[in-house]
Amino acid sequence: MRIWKLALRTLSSLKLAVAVILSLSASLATGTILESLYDIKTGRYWVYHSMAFRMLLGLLGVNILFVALSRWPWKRAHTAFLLAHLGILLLLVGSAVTQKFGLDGSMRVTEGETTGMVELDQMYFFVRDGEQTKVFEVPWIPPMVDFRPISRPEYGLEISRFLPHADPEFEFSPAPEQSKESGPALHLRLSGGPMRIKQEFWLWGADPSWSDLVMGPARFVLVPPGMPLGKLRPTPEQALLEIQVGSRDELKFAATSRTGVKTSGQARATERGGSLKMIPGWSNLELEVLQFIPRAINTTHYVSSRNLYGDSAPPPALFVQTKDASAHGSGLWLGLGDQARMVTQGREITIGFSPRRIMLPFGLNLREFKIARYEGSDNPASYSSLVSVDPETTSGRGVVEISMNEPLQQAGYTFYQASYVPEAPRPKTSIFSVNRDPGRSTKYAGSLLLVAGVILLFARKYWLSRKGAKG
Amino acid sequence: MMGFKGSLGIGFGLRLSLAFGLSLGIGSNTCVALGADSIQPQSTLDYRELGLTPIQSGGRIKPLDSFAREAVIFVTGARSFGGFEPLDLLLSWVKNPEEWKKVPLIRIPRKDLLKQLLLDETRTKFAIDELIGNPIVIQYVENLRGQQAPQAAPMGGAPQQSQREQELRKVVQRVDLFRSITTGEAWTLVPSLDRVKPWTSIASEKGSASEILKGFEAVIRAYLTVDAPGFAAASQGLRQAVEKRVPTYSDSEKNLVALESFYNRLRPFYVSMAFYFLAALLWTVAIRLPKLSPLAMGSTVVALGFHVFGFFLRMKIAGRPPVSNMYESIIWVSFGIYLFAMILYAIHRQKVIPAVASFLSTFCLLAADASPAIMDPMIHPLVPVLRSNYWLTIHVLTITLGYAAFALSLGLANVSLWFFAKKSRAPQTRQNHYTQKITAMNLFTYRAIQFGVVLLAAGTILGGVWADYSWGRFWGWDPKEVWALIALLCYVAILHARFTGWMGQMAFAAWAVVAFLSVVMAWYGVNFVLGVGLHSYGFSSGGGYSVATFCALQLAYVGVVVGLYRKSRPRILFSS
Repeated sequence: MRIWKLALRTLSSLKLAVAVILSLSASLATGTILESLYDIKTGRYWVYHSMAFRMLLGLLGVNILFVALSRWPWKRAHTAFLLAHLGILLLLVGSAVTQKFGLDGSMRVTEGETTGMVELDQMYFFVRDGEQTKVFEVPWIPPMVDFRPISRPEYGLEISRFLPHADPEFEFSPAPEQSKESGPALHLRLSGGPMRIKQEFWLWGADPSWSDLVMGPARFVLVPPGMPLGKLRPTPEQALLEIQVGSRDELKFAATSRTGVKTSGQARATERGGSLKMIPGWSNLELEVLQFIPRAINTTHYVSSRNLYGDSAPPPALFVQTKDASAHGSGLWLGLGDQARMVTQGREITIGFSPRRIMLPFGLNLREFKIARYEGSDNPASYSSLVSVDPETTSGRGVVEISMNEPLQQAGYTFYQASYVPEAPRPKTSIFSVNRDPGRSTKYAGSLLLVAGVILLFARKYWLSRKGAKG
Repeated sequence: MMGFKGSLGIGFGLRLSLAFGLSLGIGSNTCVALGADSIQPQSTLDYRELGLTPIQSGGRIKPLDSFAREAVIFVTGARSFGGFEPLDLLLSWVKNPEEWKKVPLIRIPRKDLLKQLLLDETRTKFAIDELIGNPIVIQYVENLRGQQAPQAAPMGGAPQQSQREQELRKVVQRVDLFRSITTGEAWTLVPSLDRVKPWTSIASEKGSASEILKGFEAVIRAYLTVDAPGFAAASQGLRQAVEKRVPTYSDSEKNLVALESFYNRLRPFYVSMAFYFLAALLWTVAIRLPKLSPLAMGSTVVALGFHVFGFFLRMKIAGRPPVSNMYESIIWVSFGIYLFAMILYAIHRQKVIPAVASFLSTFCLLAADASPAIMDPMIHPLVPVLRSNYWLTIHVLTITLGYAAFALSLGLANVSLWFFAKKSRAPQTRQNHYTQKITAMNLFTYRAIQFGVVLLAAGTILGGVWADYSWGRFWGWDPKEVWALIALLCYVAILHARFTGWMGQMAFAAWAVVAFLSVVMAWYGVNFVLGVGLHSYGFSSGGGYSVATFCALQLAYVGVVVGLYRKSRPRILFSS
């Protein structure tokens, strides 16, 4: 009995309240300083979303609850006090509900397209084994914290490394026999010219984003076998070099200078390189083949980025290792958004790493993105999106405008105009933040009670003191 | 608030050329002939008429007078330079750029930047010639040339730069603004036929048919010859030529431009500050000499009158409530301080309350006026999130009113501490006298804190409502809102500790002063020290030393008083 009384006394004590309030202040201050030194994700990891902080908030709630209960039986004089403290409790409960059941993501739609896909902040690792797909959440950890490997023994896998901000490094190597995604790879060096540039880069035939590159003053295209050379048009800003690998691994090229002078030729190159030196009309630019792999695959590695904090830091990557004895612990890197096939426990599975995505039961069709600027400047004054809900039957209100402070409510979700993708001559992709908040009404009720309670509390004190002064 | 300009590109665009040259067809020979003594203010000329000419700059149409003031503040970091009126200074630059390039015009306040630029660290002002010849500045400009102009970030999230780099960028922008004023490029006086399109500059105007160019040349010619009647006529000619070319230029727009020029010249908040100071002195004397009360009240009314009139003018010109930057919020807070002081005065009839409030308001307005380079007093358009929003206005005004109440409590608690210091030295017979005073001061402090707690709680929640309404997030752990919450928690802790009786009178007054440091952090520190989060439209830098000094002085004062008092009676401090 005594221990209960003591616990009750402690939990309902004002001393505890002041101690909790001061610890909260100190943690919050730490959070903002961490955000300033590193970034908001670091602040969230250490403070706002940490277990200790949640427990502190929980303790505050328990404390308030017990303080309120300790005044039992309640009298009219307690009204203001109870209102204010009930308000805080409701705010805490509402926040917990939002945190647990709410949804807060973003959605990007380009003009003319329809999407119902919302991207959330969480990251998932998934394994697709035949028909079956399993997903596992990958917690985000800041760069200064060591990653504890996540083991998935049922697949013989382990996520052994996690880089919160990773830069890709590509490596081209001769393809093994059964490899499907292979193509010719050329390692080139562009040097010289009036600006004395020196650029090294790869062209790789298996992927369009690798086979057509703009590098300094020129565009380089690796033309697939069988296509005719010299069909592409250069622009006044860019010279053009088309390269094709012939049937006997010889290199054919066709160059067009900015002024339209055409040259073509052939060259031989091997693993150790070869030369395509001195292309006429290219203002002394020199191109060298450093390495040539007729059938190459591209393996991506990730290294921790030097750019570790803030919005411009690159997305994360993880390293998945097979714990299979037969595979000798081989593994591969997955950047956020990547997937790959892997052989483990004698069968082939697909693994992937992606942001958590949710499909809404309906989609938004972006009719038009509008942006207004301040007169005589490039600074946006306002922007908005004309959208319609798809399928139309669910809303029946046709085209609606979502603007900065005018969100769209649809089936429990709210769509806010958050941002856009800057593009010339005008942006066409709108970014909405999508939100569902089941704790909203609780929080609003709590806010109202809190403010009303505090005002009443002070008014009553003032009134009492006046009465005391007179009487 | 220059950070606003820098990060959003509003204001003066960065043209990456350091080549100078007078491209106007006006005799540069004359300038050379005039020599070094030609950089004198021409105070015999009347610049008012010229100042009324509309110009499009920084995203809106404004009087040339505002443009000149902004340019002078931006380039020199001060409201005026060497007795020149702003327009006089700009015209003088046009007249004699070569001489002006030798004058230390540009303020570089950061020691680390001076070190980086290998400049003399004992100086703060540098001539353009010193900067354009600086190899590091040249290299920086070369590097910038390679990059594209940064896209305006839609919502906060501008790429982070170190404060030193931001300052370097600003130095380059200052040099460039000076250059473009001397070449005519900055004078965007030529309206385009389409209302939305940017106006073009006087430098790009060609041919003898252009009335605006002719008008501008006439102004310069009259300025060169110091021909007062000619200058007035030419100014009027230029103004009319520009006004005629603005498509759909309504009378109300014209009046607004005139009103802005009037506001610039009147400087209502400056006048108000003078009267607050007078009121502060009068109220202080009136505590002993009650006869002076009406006079003190009169001065207060005049001060408040100018204060409110200033608000009215500013709102009318900007078309929005004054909530967008540090300058505006200080002006609003100093008003709030007086609002609460008047309420408390009405209840308690104690002259010490308006006396304290008058000193505080004077101090705030003085701080706002003293450093235009840090707190930009000019009117700028708002970023999209801040536009036309009811909840935004309400929540900012409420929170800053809360800050005002806490500022008042700070002043009152300081007076209470002062009485503690006196009490510690007072003879036994006077002890009661001081105890009474302290009790009264602490009661006022308590009341002010109560106002503050209600308003800050309500304002923080309203901020949540606004965030929920426009971003769908009631609470996002944004540093500004977190620090408002911390400040609130600090004061709530004080109220609870006072309620339980752990805090004696001394501790209450001392903690009331210390707690204000959390307000300083929420109000100033988040934007100027932390510099992160969604409230980035209010970011800037500078003033750190002054604010740190203020905080240190406050802490030292509390320390000294507590020390004195403790020495005089060792055991009383912690008894309740």
